Amino acid sequence: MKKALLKLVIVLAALVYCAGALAQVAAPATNQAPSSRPSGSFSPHDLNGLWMTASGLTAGQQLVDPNAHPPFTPWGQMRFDMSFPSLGPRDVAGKENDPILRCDPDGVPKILGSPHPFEIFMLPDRMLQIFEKHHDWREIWTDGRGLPKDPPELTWNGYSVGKWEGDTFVVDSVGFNDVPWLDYYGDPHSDEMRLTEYYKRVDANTLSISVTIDDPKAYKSVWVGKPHLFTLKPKWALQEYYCINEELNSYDRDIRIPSGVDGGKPNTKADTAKDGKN
Amino acid sequence: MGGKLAIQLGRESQMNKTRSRPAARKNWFTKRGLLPGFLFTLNVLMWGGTAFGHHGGAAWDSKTTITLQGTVTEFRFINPHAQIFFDSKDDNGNMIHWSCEAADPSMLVRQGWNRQILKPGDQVKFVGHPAKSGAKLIELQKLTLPNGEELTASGSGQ
Repeated sequence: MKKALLKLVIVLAALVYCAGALAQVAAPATNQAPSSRPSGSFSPHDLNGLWMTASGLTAGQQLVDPNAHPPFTPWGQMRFDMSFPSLGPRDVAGKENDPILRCDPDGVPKILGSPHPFEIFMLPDRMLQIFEKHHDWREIWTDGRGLPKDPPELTWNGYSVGKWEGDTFVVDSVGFNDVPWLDYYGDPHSDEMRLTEYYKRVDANTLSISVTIDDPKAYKSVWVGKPHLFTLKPKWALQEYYCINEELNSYDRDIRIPSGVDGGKPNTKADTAKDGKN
Repeated sequence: MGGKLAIQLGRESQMNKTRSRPAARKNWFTKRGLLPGFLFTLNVLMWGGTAFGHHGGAAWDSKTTITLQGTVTEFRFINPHAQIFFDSKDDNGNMIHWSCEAADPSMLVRQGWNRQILKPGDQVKFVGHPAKSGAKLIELQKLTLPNGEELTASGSGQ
């Protein structure tokens, strides 16, 4: 009797296991919204969802650590010296000249380190990233195409292709213009930057992104970043956040510049560098 | 924790000697031990309560928190930061005009704010970090509305 009962239990367990396996084959999790899955379960190849940085803007938590950048080339040093960042030891209140202070886009990868959420949509031929900040977006092509050898134009977010390597989604990008910074600390990048991003779903609620920067015009060696964690926010929705010059000007006039170290007296070097090009 | 992750987290390893591109990172975080959880918790703790301004630590005295009771004169629920202007009497009875910045409206909405929570004439308690320069400006951390409701003003939306 006991043996018969044991056999019955084994058969039932096998049936349940097979049913679960068949269900996974029949309905790949990549097409499911994260919030629709039971809590705790996830597919490592499903990056869909609205993600929010789990850390923010602290130097050590940036995608690239501004305290550990590779040696600059002369061009990189020149651009670094022209920058007056909004964070870090070189921040001088009221003198900042981050390009975003004139409503320029953050650019990639800087926007990934911004304290605003972004949403990932995995489509059949591309990954779509929509950023709340500035209502910005980018496409990462997954249809097998390669990177253009000579990008027809240089853009803020570059030209990107992606593919899976195991459970890591690897994105290669070129074709960036050299206006935005790499981070909020004034580190530059040039139009020769090749950016590689590594996306890894750590668990049901956590996404890890790390980057490498290969920019021979700005840095003497490759800059390898640290994993930066993002938290899934299934109950959030993207809000409208445009950068409007009139609104930005009112903030500069009434808050940012008056709160500066000397109440906003002109800084010749900063003003010169504000629109500086190489 | 796997050796590869430990190497990646080491600062020295971030400065590669050559331009050869690193191989794709496989297997990091595959062993979900204590370190990722610790890092995540540390990140949240470091991020909590921080209001990102278009200037960071340089403008505000983050080690000092002041509380002011004031009368709202203007409320701008706009990007990149919500701005509130108010009058408040100092210890000598002089009326002082103050300005303050909060997070952006998108993040504030997630903390219960809306465009109608403040109007001129409202009596509000403001708590925030003062400007290092001594200018009458604060980086708002939280406020208490006339109905007693307390709202945070940070950028994290947590």
